[in-house]
Amino acid sequence: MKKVLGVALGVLTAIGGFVDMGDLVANAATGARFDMNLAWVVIVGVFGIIVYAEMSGRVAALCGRPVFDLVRERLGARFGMANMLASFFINFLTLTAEIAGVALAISLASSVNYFFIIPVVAVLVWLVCWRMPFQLMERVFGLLGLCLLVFAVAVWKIGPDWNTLFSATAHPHVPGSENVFTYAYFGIALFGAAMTPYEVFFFSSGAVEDGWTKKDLGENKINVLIGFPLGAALSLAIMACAHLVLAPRHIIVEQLSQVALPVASAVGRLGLAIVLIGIFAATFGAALETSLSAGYVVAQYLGWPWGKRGSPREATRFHVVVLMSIAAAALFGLTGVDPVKVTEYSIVLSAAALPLTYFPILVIANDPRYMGPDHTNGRFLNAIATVYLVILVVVAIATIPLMIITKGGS
Amino acid sequence: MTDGRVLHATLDLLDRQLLDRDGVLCGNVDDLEIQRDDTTGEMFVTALLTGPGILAYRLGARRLGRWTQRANRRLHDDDAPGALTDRTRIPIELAQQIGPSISVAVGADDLASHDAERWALAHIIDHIPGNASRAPQ
Amino acid sequence: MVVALALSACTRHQVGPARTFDDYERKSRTTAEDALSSVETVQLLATTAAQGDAFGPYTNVSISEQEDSLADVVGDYGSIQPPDAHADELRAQLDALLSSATDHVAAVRIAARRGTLAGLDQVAAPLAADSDALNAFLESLK
Repeated sequence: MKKVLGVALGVLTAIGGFVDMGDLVANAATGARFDMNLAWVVIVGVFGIIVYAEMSGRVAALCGRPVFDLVRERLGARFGMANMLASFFINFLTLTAEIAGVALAISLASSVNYFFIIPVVAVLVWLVCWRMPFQLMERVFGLLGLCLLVFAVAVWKIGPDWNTLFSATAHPHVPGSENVFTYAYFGIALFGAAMTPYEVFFFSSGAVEDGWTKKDLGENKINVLIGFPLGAALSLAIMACAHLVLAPRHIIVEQLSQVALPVASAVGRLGLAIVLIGIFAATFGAALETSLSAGYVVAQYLGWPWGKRGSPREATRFHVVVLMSIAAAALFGLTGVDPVKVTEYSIVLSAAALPLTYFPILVIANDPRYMGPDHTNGRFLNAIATVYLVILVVVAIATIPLMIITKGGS
Repeated sequence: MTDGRVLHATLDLLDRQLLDRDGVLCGNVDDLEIQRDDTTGEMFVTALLTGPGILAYRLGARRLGRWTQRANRRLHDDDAPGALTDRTRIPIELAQQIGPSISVAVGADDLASHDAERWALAHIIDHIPGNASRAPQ
Repeated sequence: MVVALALSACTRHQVGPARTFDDYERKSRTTAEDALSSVETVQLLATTAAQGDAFGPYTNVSISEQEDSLADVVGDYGSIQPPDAHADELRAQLDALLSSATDHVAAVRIAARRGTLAGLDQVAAPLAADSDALNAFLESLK
């Protein structure tokens, strides 16, 4: 019974933890602009993250070391260093976006100025990283993030013609008013949001922090195979809300408040309150994950003690990196950067850097010296993973040119 | 030296994680010291090198490497020299287990790679309340 | 390079000069689209709040955000140099629509701040005409 409860909790956490600021913004913006014509990208993206998150969880459970730790020894110090710097920078943008998202959610609920809230949020995020037990942290914010299910309630309340909705999703096309480049650019943003690299750093480091072993492999599979698709369904609900409510009114999503608007109009006051709590929890949870990831990436590359399982005294440089990253992200947020723009750039650049994270995972998951002879990838899994790797490389090559051609999707 | 293991030095040693005698993570193998037997011409790994500046030096940023080493020495003058004569050099005899990570028979505090860890403890972490509490599991 | 590009782009969307009429027309179009988005958002916010489906802080903050972004759009458009007389005409036409929208959005913001959410849809009613006019303007560009 306790086991079942643990598994259920893990799955629920995975659903709530799937959506972050990037998913909120990307799904609402594409739904408002392209209706359901890019929904297929979310589905392709979630299969990708399932394949690779399972692998990274398996690596962590079997050799007790997270993926980023192994990048350097398998791919060399130089490539590992470039990888570390790029990942750290993108993770920093994501952290800024998440902190801004938390501050915006609080500001929408209280009308306190967003700039006053940012420092408070930064302190809270740091306190949790400093003191809160790992598993409790994961569960509290994952479960609160389930409030976002109100997006699905909103879709149901709006009561669209389901046949039209599904057939529009199944038969995507580039809308007449848009060109192919913008369509591709938004597709890449969605893909980057679904496969954000920090999810893997955090997932595999978290598996080590939780002390996973061979026994936990089954739970790993269930979390990923059930939790992530449901998380993706949630993303699609956000997209559908924007498609049903915002697109007919020619509303362009440029503010986080617009993401919540369909829920207010369809479900009402209570729905609005729930969605704001959900946004708060999802972005706060992601802010924690990205703060810790900043520490994970640097400490694991340089071989320092890391993690929040022990006390901060046992991983001093790790905690210094986490603290400095949070402070820097808060300062960057306070300069007045547009939080939604930061989010967009963080997910697009994530897309450009995807192979850096996912290629090493594939290499290590095939290495019997780390995995033992029985737990390396099967042939079928390798075939899928390789197809995805090709997609990731194509996406990575196309991203920067598309960003320039479309002037950032405008 | 005849009973040494045959290893692919760059693949099996370089950039591996180091664990000290208590299992504390204490840096990576940043470089290797290799000696050549004059009579047979065979090469032997004689020591694992780890610590500030060594990786930069190996990757070609020699000036940065040397500067980092000097700066580290200035910050952490050896008031209590540990088991090693050179705190960036671990003789290969002290490597006990070579697998995905390498266990060495020294304490982390004997290594230069751990200096900054202690510096951060003394100058930053120690000043923040709640630093010693282990989160209850 | 990428870092600098990303950071600069995060701050504000820049408006370059318009060298030809086509260029000016394209910028007029994006301006009208952005303004239309703000007008429609405020309208939806006002009706939602009037039905009691949204609470005060959310409504206030959201309307202010739209007012600010409308002001930015108007400011950016005003700073573009129209290249010829034909462009002057376009400018005069859109300017009128923008200033009307700005006034009506401000009226909604003022009423919302005073806490009169129940009648907010009445205050926002003139925005429907702004929205129609902007849509007609966009049609005329085709």
